[in-house]
Parts: sequence; C-alpha cells; structure tokens
Amino acid sequence: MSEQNTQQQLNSPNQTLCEEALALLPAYGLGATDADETRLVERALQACPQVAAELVEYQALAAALLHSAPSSQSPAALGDRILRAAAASSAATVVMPKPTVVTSKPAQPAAARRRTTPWGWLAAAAAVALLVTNGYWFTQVQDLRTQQDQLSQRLTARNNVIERAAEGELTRIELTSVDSSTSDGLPAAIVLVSPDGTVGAVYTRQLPVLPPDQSYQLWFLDGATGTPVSACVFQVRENGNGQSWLIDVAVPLDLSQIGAMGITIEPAGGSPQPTSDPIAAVEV
Amino acid sequence: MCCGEKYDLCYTHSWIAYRHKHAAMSNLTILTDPELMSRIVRQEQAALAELYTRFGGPVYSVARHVLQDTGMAEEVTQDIFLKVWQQAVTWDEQRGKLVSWLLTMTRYTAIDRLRKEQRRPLRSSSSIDDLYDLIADSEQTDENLRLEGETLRGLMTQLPQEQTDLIRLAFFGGLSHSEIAERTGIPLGTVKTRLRLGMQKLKHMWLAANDDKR
Repeated sequence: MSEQNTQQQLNSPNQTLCEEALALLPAYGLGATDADETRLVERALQACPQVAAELVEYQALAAALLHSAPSSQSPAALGDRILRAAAASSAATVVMPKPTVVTSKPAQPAAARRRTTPWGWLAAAAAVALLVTNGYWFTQVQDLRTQQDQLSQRLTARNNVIERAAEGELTRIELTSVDSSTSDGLPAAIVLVSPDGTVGAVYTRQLPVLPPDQSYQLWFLDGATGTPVSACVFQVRENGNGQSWLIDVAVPLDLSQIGAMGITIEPAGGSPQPTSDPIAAVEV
Repeated sequence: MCCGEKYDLCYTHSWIAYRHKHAAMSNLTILTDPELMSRIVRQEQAALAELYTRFGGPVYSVARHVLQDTGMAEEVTQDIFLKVWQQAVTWDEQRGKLVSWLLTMTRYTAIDRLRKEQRRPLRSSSSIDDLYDLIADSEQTDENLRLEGETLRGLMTQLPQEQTDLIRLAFFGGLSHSEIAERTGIPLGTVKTRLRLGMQKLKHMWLAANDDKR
C-alpha cells in the first residue's frame, strides 16, 4: 500500500490526526515514538483505518528485523548452565517451603512474647518440623531428578542402539556355550555391536541366575594383543534370559580389532580383568 | 515367527519397524515446535535442551546485538530460556511462530537490561502476552525467517548510513526519538525525518523483494 493512496483515503474530519500518525508510523513500528507520539498514533488507530492497515506492514517489517541481527555462536557451556538452572528452579518450585509458617504473625511486644501459650510452642514446633520435612523432601526430589536425568540419558542411548540396529548398522555375533553338555546347539548369547565397538547390546538365553554377589561380564579380546576389554556387566532374569546395553562404556576397539568375545562370571559389579574361564565365547 | 520366543530378541520385519518407529518418536529432533513446547510444559529437561539447540544461537545473537556485551547477552539468553521453562504454557502457536516469540521476548528483555544498566526508565511493556501483537509471521518457516533476516541485512546496506544507524539505535537499542537525539546530538527533527525516510525506504525495498520471491 503506497503512502499516496493512503493519503487520499483518509477521513477528512480526522485528516490532520491521520497524517501526523502516518508520519510517525515507521518509528511507532520500531517502538521509537515518545510517549506523546505513541498516544497520538494509538488515538489515530481507532479513527483512521488506513493507519491501522499500514501499521501491519511496519510491524511485519519490525518482526523481520529481529532476524537481521548478525549471527553469533552461543557459548557451548551456556546450554548446560541453563539446564542446571531450570532443574534448580523446578525443584524450588515444587518443594520450597512457604515463608508464612514462622513469620506470618507480626512481632509481639517482649511481655507478650514471654506469655507464649502451649499452643504457641506447639505451632512453633510444628513449623520447625515442617521445615525439616520440607528440607528432606527437597533433597529427595533433587535425588529423584538426578536419577531421572541419568535414566533419560540411558534411554536416549538405548534408542540410539535400537535405531542403529533397525538401520542394519550393527553386526550380529553369536556366542555359544563352552560347556557342550548343556548346550542345545543354539547360541547362549547374541551380541549386536557397531563397527566402532562403541554401541551395541547383548542378549542372553538360559544362563544360570547368579547369586547377588556375582555378575556376568562380557569381554572383547583384542585380536593383536589378546588383552581383554570389558564391554558390560549384566544380570539375567529368573528365566535365564537377559539383556544389556553397551552404553556405559566406550569400548576402545573397533570391530576389526576384536579377536574373540567371551562372557565370564565375576564378582558383583564386574572385574578389571576376567577372573574365571568364559561360560560362552566365540572367535570373531 | 518372532525370534523373541527363543532369544529374547526378534529380527522380523515387523519388530524392526515397531522399534524403529518407537525410536523415532523418542527422538526430540524430529518434533515440531508445538510438540516440543508441550514437552517443556510437562517439564521435560531434554525438550528444553532441544529448544536451546534450535534457538540458542538466534536468541544469543539478538541479545548480543542489543547489549554489545557477551556476559550480559549470556545472562539474558539464560533468562529467556528459564522464562520459557516456567511459562511455556503462555505460548500460543496460533498467534505466532515460536522463534519470533522468542526473539521478540529476547529483544524486550535485552533492552530492559540495557536500560537498567544505563539507568534509563522502561518505556514499554514486555509482558509475554503483549509480544503477540508484534509477531505477524505465523505462515513463515524458520528457514524463511532466517533468509528474510539476511535479505534485510542486505537491503539496509542500500540505505544511507545515517538512516541505518538510527534504525538500529531505535530497534536494537530501544531508544525513542528524543533519546536518540540526546544520545547522538542530532537535532530531534532530523532524527524523526531520517528514521521515517529510512523505514519507508526499507519497507518499500523489503516488500518489493518479497514480491520478487513470489
């Protein structure tokens, strides 16, 4: 819409007002009018349809100007800081005690304070108990949030494994039971592993359930040196089936370096090196 | 047949399709802005992280351009994302693009900060609801908006420098006519004329450029 057309279509009774407003509109669109000018434009917006119509264009221009700021790289650490602050603000919102419990009453004269009734002491004790309880729940919620964050990270990593498995990017390797007398010919475990050895999963079937002080541990053996590298520590369910994800450790071997894989029984939590012979293994 | 019967793991096509779909749904990067904001309303921190990945750069850029100070720009950027974290429910997708809402809020917050630093009184409201009046681009994609910003930067180089400077002082500096006159020593009438002419020319060039694109 041109300014010329706009001028022709102005209502004559408000012509002066509308003309003044049109002249101010470019600055108004930027938010640069002074208070009296702003009032004038806002009065004109009620009386002059063309002023309102033209304002739409200037506001669109102002919105586009927002995107004209030269691009700057936001600091990498800033994102972490924001997430920490958000977590803290959520925790505070949920559990911070309201300060009305103790300080809601105006200060009393000294004489009155000396005459504190049993009910007053009870209220004070209740307030203290409430604060202690709130502090406890504050800690509990923060712990839960930490656990939630860890769980969320693990789920994201698992989804990454699943996605790569679905894309066919993971190599499948079968481990057979070393004890042929108990073997039914089917694999005791299947390992899915990425070419760089950093992500994957292990699935087991019909392995004995271990006592609480023991765990299964999967090892990759370096083909060149024969050095075992721990891939993961896991338990199996009551039916002997189990699964684990190679997401807690970055195995420093790529697939071409792995000479063999094996599963051993180790003390709970795993060992730095295998302490027993493998119950299932395969040469890669 | 599902191999889960034997191995706890199924390699059939349907299994893969199901798991793939599930994985994709959990992948925040494919969420639309409204979907992402609904997760932030539910206080999912991963969604806030994704929001920062998408818009941290533009928000920081506007804050830095207004404030001309990296430390304050970081503080304002943090304020903006915390405001979103606490008030995500106030964003209405029907009334404007998320990125425009964020950048408008950033501009106001940064200008407020600038005024506090310079002990200037606040001139305008910056409540979240008021911001919608300034956002008129709900049909635009984020990429289009970015390109439009580049176009505008190019068009502004075609204006006389004294007009460009005043537009930037007004828009990114949050200064009024009289404040610009006071700051620059340019007579008030000249400030008004330069700002008006500059904006009129810029609007004509911008509308023409948009017409050419169509």
